[in-house]
Amino acid sequence: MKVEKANFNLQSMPVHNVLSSGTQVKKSVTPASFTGRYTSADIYQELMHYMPGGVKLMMKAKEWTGEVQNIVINSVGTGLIAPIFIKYNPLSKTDEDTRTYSAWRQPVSALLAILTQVGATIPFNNKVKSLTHQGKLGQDYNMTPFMDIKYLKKLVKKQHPDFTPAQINERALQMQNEQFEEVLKDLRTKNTVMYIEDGKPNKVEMNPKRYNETLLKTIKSLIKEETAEKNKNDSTKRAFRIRRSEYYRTHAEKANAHLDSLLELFECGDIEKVKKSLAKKISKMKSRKEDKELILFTEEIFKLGNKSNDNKTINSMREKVDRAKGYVRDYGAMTSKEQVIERVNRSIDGRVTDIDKEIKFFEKVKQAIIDNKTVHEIEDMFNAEKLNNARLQEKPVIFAEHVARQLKQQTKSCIDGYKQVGGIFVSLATLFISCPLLNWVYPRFMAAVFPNLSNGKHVKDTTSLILQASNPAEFQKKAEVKS
Amino acid sequence: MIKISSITNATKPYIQRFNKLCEKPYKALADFKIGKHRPMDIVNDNYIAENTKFITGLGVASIVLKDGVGCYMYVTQSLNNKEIPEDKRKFVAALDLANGGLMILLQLLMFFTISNKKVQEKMFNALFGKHFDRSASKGYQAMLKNNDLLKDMKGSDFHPVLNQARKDVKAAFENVTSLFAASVVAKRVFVPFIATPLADKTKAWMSRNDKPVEVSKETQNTYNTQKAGIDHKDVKSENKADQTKLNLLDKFKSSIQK
Repeated sequence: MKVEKANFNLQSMPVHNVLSSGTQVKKSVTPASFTGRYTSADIYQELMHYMPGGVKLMMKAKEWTGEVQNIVINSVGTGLIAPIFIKYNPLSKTDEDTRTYSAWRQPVSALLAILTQVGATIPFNNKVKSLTHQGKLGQDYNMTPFMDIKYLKKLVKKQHPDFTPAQINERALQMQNEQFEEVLKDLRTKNTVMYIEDGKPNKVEMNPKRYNETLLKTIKSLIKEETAEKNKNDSTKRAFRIRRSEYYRTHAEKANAHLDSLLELFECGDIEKVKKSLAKKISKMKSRKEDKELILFTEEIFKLGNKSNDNKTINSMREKVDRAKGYVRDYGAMTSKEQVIERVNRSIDGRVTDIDKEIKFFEKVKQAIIDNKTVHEIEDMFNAEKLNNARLQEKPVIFAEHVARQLKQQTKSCIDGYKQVGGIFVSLATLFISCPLLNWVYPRFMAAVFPNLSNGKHVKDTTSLILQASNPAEFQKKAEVKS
Repeated sequence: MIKISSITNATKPYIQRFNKLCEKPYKALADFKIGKHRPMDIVNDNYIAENTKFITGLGVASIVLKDGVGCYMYVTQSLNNKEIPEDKRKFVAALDLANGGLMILLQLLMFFTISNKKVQEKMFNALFGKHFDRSASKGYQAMLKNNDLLKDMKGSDFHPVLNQARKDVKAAFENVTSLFAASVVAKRVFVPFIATPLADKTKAWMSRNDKPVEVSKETQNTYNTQKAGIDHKDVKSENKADQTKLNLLDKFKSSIQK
């Protein structure tokens, strides 16, 4: 990847905090930009740390989505699976030699496909990355306000060859944070995003139409998020809470005894022992076919500490059981299902009303964006609404951050699309090399490795044998010359 | 003596010009227009909307397109490849042709089946559902709160992130399973099963006007080129008889070995 020199104003380093995943995140930040609290990116990163291997593998696959992944999956099938089904195909009446001969074409073809197609696609992708970081492919693909950490590291390395890897890492992180803060500042003060275009030092404003579309997409995604939360509360959560609360009402004594037994397990204070006891308890309950609701609850408690080795987790477990004991007491005192439903509905409806209020406010913001209100004005709207909106009170006003993240994400998506389409052209072009190459390599490979299946070596053998039989004197002569 | 720096300085403008030239096709793809419309806008919109079916479809389309071009090239080249024994040449070409046609057809069929929303939802829930259900969500939330930075994290901040993670994993899963189903299962398991017997028929069709080809004795071939699809055992026994009668070279070889 080609890295162009850029002039960044490097100031003092911000304070960093380390997540479990080992990644540094910003802790203290300027009030003008960040809020000083965690971001959704921090939650995402930390969440991935606790996810199982399969999920992590899928996330890696998502990162690799593109032409290279397509070529590799395709080649795995070609090289490892296809030969088996060609060679051992009971339906084919063709002789085994010919099938073996044809089967070997597949791994040779797969290897050549990887060498030529991946070999051409990777440099293509690197060039795309370099061009997008210099703003040479248009604003849809312009990453100059959100430079990638790897690109920044190379940039720092080029500017400071004397830096240690740790220094390079620190400086690159600092540059990335400063870039992001600059984007936020531009959004709030200039109501635009500034781009470096064609590697020139003078920055240009974002296309107003694109800018407006980005603001709209941002608010639409916030509306979508809240609507999903509302639907979840309205359907899944309501049904679940009615079911469990009704169980507590009808089986109060049994539930209470079970919760007490769980509290006893926590007394040892050792998370490992608690986890073992819970696992044992769950399997015992399952084999005895005990009440499903109690098994589910115990599993929820177990999952609280599933990946944790921290004894503090026992407190979270205990809090959950204590809360459940409270519910058992409340619902156990009720006399009918109608009462349970009414109580659950009251609680859920309150939350749904709050979400509805928030969605209505977001719709107002959407209209304000259509009316060309600036980001600064929109954030003022948020601040004013906060006084009367319970859900908004919980959250800091970070509309500009939402816009910046939305723009970064959509630029990345456009680049992914560009790489995929470009990758198709690149790998199609390499076919004109890989096909003739396969036709050249394959018979030679077969002649060298499987002479019995090929003419090549036998032609040499037989010629020499014929010579030896028909003209022993000349054969002897040739043999002497060779030796 | 010429200094290296002077060479570098002299070549610099040419390298810059060459770089500019290399950038042209990249810019052309980004700016390419049909009338007033940019085809890349369609790609951009679908990628921004995270339309998994479109993204996976583009991947499968890429493989299918390459198979189409590859099939044409392999068939024509195999037919003219003198390095492949003549008696096997048509079978190899026929196998390429049968493979190519079936590959395209089955890959598309498999893609539309596997990428179906209902099929995907069922497969995803069976394999990954438990990692995103209610109890798992509560568990993750509790674990995340052990971190000092996230100790005050609210459910309303956590749930959208978990939903996004689920969406990301599901998109990757859909992409990988669709590609795997199309390019591994359909193309490499089903196709060879059907294509190899189909190649017998294709080869017979391609050879319908040919004169019988003499079988190369040295390749120890057991394939009857005069009659495609003949029973395997019969051919083997025929060739054994041929060998005892005709292969004088073998006799000579064994006599000199003695």
